Amino acid sequence: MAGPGQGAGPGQGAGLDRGAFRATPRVRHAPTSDLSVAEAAALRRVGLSPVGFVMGSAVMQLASTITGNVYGGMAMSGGIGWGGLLSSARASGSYVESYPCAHFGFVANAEHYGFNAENTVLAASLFEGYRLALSRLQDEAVGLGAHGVVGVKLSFEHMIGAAGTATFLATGTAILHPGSAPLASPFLTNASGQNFERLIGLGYVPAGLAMGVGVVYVQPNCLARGDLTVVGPNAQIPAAVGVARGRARQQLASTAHGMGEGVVHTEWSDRRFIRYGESWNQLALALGTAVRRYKTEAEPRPPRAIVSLRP
Amino acid sequence: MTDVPQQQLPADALRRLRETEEPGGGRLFTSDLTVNEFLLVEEAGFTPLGLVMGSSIYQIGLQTRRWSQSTELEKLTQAMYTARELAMTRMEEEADVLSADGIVGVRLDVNYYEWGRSTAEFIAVGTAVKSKDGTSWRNAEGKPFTSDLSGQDFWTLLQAGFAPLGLVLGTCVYHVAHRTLLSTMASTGRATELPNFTQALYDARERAMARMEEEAARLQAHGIVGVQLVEKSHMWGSHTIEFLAIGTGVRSLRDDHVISPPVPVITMDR
Amino acid sequence: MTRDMGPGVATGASGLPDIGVALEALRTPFRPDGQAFVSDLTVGELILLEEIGYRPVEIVTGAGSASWFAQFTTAGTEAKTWGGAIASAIAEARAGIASEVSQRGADGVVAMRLELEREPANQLTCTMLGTAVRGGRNAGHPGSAARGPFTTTLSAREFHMLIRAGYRAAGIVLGVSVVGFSARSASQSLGLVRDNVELEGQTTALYSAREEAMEMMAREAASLGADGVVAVQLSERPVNTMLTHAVELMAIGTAVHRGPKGHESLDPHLQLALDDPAAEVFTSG
Repeated sequence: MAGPGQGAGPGQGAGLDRGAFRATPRVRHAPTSDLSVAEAAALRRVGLSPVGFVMGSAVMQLASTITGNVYGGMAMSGGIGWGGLLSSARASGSYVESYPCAHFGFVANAEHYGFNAENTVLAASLFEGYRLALSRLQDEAVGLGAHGVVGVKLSFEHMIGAAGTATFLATGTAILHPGSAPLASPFLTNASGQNFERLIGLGYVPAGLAMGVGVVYVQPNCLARGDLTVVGPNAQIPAAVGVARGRARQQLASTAHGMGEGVVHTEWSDRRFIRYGESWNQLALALGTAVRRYKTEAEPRPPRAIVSLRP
Repeated sequence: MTDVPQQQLPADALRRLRETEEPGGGRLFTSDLTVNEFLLVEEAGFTPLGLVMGSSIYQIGLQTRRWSQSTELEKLTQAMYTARELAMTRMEEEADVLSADGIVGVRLDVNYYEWGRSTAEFIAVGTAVKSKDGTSWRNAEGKPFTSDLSGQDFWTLLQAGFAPLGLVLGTCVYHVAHRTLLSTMASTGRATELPNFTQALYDARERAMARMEEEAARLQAHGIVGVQLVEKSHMWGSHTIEFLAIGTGVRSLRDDHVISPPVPVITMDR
Repeated sequence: MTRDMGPGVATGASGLPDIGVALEALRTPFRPDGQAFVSDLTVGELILLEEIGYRPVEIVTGAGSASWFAQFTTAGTEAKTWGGAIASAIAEARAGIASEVSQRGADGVVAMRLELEREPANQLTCTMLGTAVRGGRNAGHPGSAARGPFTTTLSAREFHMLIRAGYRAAGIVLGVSVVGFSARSASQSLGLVRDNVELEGQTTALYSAREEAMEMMAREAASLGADGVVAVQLSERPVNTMLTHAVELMAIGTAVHRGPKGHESLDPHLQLALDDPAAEVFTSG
């Protein structure tokens, strides 16, 4: 699968008519950017000029494994019908595990039964949303003749009033090295200007972004729900976190594959997401920079320890 | 200020401090110094012995006072002082049990809990240290030195030829008078200084600082560094304010206080 | 920390970096020669770890979760289930991440993120995440036989300084305890307690609970053969339960071991930073 920022080439990620967005032709303004003064200075010291603040966005209808329907139309927890849910997860070969009631004796109450099921379709929607946003960001960078984009940030927002719809946004600052020929595919990195300067100074160049998303749907059993009548450690929540992160990590590595020697600056975000009553989707999201060595390191010397006379 | 009488440390505290002593004479130290602070304390010629703390749960009541008078609330001042002294004295005694020369990185905190009314816990926490060369660093009162200086500031102070003697503090709880209705109405619409309030705040701060300086004098300090003036209403409402002046009293170790010239730099971090 | 390669001037590894050369490298196709590493470290942190002999392997993770229910009867009684649940959640997370480290043939985790999520009010989920590293001079760290891979929340910078000064890090050690208080003591309810006095019963109860947490942490460090614990974070959280008020005390730190040569000087230099944050002329609040 094409990774973020890679893919069929500029302008082909979307099939959108970009010209339709501009009422007036683009006028050369002074470059905008969200860089701080120190960050801009760091970039200039390595010979780069910021050429403009770039962004890409996409609005997606989020799908969910479970019944194949758009999740906004899904029934709330308790009445979902686990039979169909579990069998569809099992059929697709993804992670699924059930957690029966933890009380002694059988409690015939739907709320005591739980399961984890990997929500591959939701994860794929999220990945696709970010990927589209990033490829459009890269298009804008190409349009400016840039060599790369630094300080890439991703954000996500549910749209109010439209159930199951979300906006994905990618932003960053496009940079250019005057005197170098343009690159067909400008590099993207989540490193800030200062971190970029350190990267280059220490012999590495960013080759591209690596990204991974993992989602596990959790319907907690009584113990994982925090039911006061049964206490102790539960295995359900750690398993959900572990699988979601594991999936994200796997995808991070596979999108980085063939790009560079390693991935650095990985930013992780985990949270409980899209809840229904007591159930939720456990989300793990990782974004990092694949790097390549462009020169061998000079003999390293231990850095000097200093104490700063700070005010 | 009256001195706080000798405190009996709770049995649990004594047990922990004694238990950390191992048969070979070694001791397991604990410390809330960061790694950098820990390394700088070692560079300065001291070894951390252990985390020492003292606490006191105090019920602070509101003293009756005349609504229209700006005045110090002496019972409250005494209470705030005593609660902190209890906490600090227990902390110093824990350091004594460890045969420490001093305590660095002292934090004085006030935690409010919801038990009863106006109950607060006063805590003093720091790291007890001992000098590696065996000289005594205890102060004029024969007690281990205390200081709220960070590990970095402690190292820098010693480089400059000074040594800490003790944490000095002065406090004053002041009630700032409410204005009468007539005087409020009279000045509506005009910009005017409120000399009573101005005077009240001056008074309160001066008292707090004077008491801090008195403590420093008792320790025979040559100066006070790192002075902070903290003003808080705690749980008394906005017309009652505690003024706390806190700093570290220091003594000179040598006649010159010259340090090797630091390198001027500008960091390019955000 | 400035990487000082020349008299008084901090630059990149060998003078001003040649960005043109860097961009040229992107035009040639990349030929991987081995497994790519995946890390959440910055390049600066990678360099600091490399200098003490460590290379990154992969991001590793661990999680644990437990719930509890207050069981006190009288003020000052410790709720063992509560403290036990917290300790078990953290221990499980640590075991999970350590096993991922071992599976990858790595030695430990540096700059580990440790998060405690309490949701709903009586359930604690502990998650840990970091970059597993291999090689390095923390070999023979205390507890390596007993506990396997080291896990530390120390940053790469702190870890680097510690190792250079001749210490070894074993990893996180933890102590936790919970103490319950009834809303008022009997004499308080009867109005017999005057204002502006110390509440001795509650002071002693809190002391006991705090000491218990510290002792538990120190015992764990001692069992690893460590010389001490640094960067201890003491936290006190009031917790409301249906029955009564309670305070949860936690002490977490990193256990360290002095090397055979004791403290090896880092020879710190004084630096006068000419950075001043933007000054606020008018402060309020």
